[in-house]
Amino acid sequence: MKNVAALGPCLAVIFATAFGAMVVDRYASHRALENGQAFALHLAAYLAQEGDVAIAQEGDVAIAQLRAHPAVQSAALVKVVAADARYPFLRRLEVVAHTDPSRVGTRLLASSEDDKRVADLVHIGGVTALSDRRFQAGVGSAVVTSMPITRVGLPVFGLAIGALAALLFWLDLVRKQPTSRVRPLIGALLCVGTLFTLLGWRIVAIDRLEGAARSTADPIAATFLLAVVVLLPLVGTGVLGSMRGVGPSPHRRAYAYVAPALVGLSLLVVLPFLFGVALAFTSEVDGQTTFVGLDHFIHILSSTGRRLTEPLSFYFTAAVTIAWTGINVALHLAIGLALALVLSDPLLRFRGLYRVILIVPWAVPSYITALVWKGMFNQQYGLINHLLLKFGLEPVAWFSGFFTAFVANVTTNTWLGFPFMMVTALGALQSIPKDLYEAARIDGASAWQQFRHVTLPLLRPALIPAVLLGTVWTFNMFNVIYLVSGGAPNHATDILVTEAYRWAFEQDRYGYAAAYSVLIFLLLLVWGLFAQRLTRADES
Amino acid sequence: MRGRRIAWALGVCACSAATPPAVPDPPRTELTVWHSYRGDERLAFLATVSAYDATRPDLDVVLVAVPHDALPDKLGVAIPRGNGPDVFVFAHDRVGDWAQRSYLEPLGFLTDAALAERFYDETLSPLVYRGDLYGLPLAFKCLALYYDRTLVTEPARTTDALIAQTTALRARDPAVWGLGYEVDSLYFHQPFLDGFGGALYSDERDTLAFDSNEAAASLDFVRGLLVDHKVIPNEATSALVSSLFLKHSLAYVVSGPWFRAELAGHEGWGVAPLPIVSATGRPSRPFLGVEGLMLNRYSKHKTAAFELMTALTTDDAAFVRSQTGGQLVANRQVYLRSEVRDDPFAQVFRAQLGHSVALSNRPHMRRMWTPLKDALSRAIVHGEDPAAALRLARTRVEEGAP
Repeated sequence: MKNVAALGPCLAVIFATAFGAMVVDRYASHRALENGQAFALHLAAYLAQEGDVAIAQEGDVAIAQLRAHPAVQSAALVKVVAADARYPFLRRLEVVAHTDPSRVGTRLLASSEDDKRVADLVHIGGVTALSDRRFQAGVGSAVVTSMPITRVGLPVFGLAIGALAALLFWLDLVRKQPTSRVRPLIGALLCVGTLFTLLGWRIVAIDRLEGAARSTADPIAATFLLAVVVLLPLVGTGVLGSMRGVGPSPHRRAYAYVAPALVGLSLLVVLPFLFGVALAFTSEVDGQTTFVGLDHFIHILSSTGRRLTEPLSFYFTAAVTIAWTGINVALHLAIGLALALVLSDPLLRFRGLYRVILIVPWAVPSYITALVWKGMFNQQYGLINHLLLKFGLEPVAWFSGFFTAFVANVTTNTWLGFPFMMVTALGALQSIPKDLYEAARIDGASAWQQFRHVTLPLLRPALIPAVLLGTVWTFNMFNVIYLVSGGAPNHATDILVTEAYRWAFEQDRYGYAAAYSVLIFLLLLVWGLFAQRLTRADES
Repeated sequence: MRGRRIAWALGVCACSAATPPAVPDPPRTELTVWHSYRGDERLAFLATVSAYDATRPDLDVVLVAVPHDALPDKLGVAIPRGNGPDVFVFAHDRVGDWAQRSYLEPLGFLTDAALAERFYDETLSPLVYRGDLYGLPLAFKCLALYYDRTLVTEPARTTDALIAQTTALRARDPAVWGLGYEVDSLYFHQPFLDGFGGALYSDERDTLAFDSNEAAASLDFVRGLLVDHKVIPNEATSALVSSLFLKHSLAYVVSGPWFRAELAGHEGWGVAPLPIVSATGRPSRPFLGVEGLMLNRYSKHKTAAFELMTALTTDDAAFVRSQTGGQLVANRQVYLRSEVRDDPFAQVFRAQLGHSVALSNRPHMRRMWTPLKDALSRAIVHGEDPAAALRLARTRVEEGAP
């Protein structure tokens, strides 16, 4: 038994070695491809300096060199010819020299994959304008037809681990012992095997594409690595728990029940989250992703290029977001609670009808409500300004100033948010025993005292989670800000989440936006931890 | 039991022996096309695809409708992994980005002059990026001037005439507005920017030029329309503009061919080319958008896919899209056919095509919209100094900030 358990460290060493080998292998493969391309381009540039007359001779020499290069299986020297003077973007490639002599003098075929690769290499070199001197002179190019290094080792390695785990499991079953310490190890091995099979498959799939191979940083691969680092201990712990002992265990069934949710959460929440984190450390320029470390975070937190009190500064936007959240949640709570108290009065007629009407704002999709309110705040034709005129007041250009635009946003979100608090409070109010009020009344408590000392304390357990939830929702309430004020005037009413959206989808800076999102997450995490302490204090 | 099994096996063998040998179907190539067409445009596109499909027994063309906003993201996920459609339809403004990411197959080596001659040159050049052609044009879109015939008998040819007409109308009836469009949108401001001699870039090397004196003058001009002449309603959105125009409370609307759909059943409107800017004597040239068929670089059937693209852009196919789908097609010959020649709507937009500026297909064009929207808002709506607003926008574009 001890011998089997001792396999653990050995396997860890094997696993680490294989993983390291995989990384080196992958790097070497990419370098080989890049070297091949670089070599070809170097040749192209060299030949281009020579002019038409020298091309054939120089090309012959160059092809001989190319044959000797390990990454290059065949080579062609091609000349780009304009196909029609009226349309400078129409062109054809004529083969000047080729490793297959029968191809000399022919046109490159669009349907041939090899020929397309020649054309691709012309593009990789950035020599795509016919006015380019190198085109006029002719371009030499090489064809990387196959990669000498295979990259199927990783999934095979994953499958091997899985097979080993299966073997150990079988041996363990054969022993027929009531308890077994080796099963957690088997579970962990199965996890490792599965993950590495998937990861390996993924890398092979990426490498099949030349475009992806040229990428210098791959956030997807980084996500998988992060997933291995973060998820593996979690899953391993779960497996360890589930497989501790052979006999029936109460935890075993619990883990089985939780497993689908865990898998779902991992796929839908944890992996995208990790992808976001990985993205925050990268930058993409002209289709090339590069690792930039903490640059985005430093840029955001140092508010580079603008004053701290200026819109688009992280601190200004964070302050607006906090004010927005605080004011909204306070209004939601106050209005929701007040309406709940009114609606909980048993003597009120048409209570059910009022409840339904007051829940309507919640039932209508928020973006529709936001657009309706935006229309109502229109300076020229909006209902709000019509009402102001009726009362003899001047119409307001709601979205011209920070304060008025902020008020318009808060009004819309208050309309959207109070029903949730109202429904929560209504439910909690109905669970308060009536005899507490009777006792309070007998003791001479006034209505305010009853509310202060009976209703509020008993509502707290229900309201605190609702406030926490409301805070997170409001903090990230994208629809209202984006659709009502749109950040007007000049981004002043933008909150962090709309700002992150703009960086990502209006400016195409996904890495920067991801860093923004990570900061938003950290802010909410701090708030969540604080709120947890608050809840614990309340429970105690 | 065993005997029964043998009997069954013998029976099956006998049946299979009696069946004549099946003639194998010729191998069929499946081509997938992603598009975002809806309504009549979808029907027209479907008709052209079906017509081609019927002539090619070796092909199965599968059309997949993808929402327009989602299509770039879906392509971005699918193509780099070797998946996605063989051919897709999208506007040209993403060509540069997608070409740099190697999503698109360059067509310069596949296309010949005879094919290129089908299309107006103005619709081909937006699909060219760094000297390579990346799509075949289907249709184009640009802005023109819609007018209400009950308010305006003859559309204004110059901005001075437009101001004179609309101020007179406002004097007669203050409930009627002169001109409607989103003043803080770069897309809608482009005609005036160009009319005053401004431009986004000064050359082909992407040198930013929108903080010029000419650009500032264009902002001043529109500020004048909004505040001094008061011919443009405040906070004009597309919904408000449509609503006012349908109520005959708006004389002119700057909009594109899509506005026609909102005027279905509405009488008394016309469309004219955008007016000449009186201050400079230059035409107001709007942005030109071209919808093209593009070929996935990782398509496994590039030859068949290009044949399909060629077939979907013939003059006959374009005529179907023009008549059934109401598209402003890119094919020259279609505008000579009587049905289109006699359609003033199509002819006005075709004329405007000659006075348009292709929306840049460079990747960082997408970073211009928000900073310039802010600049327009600051200068036109809030009355800030146009030159300062444009300088700020330039700084933001350069640093890649919204």
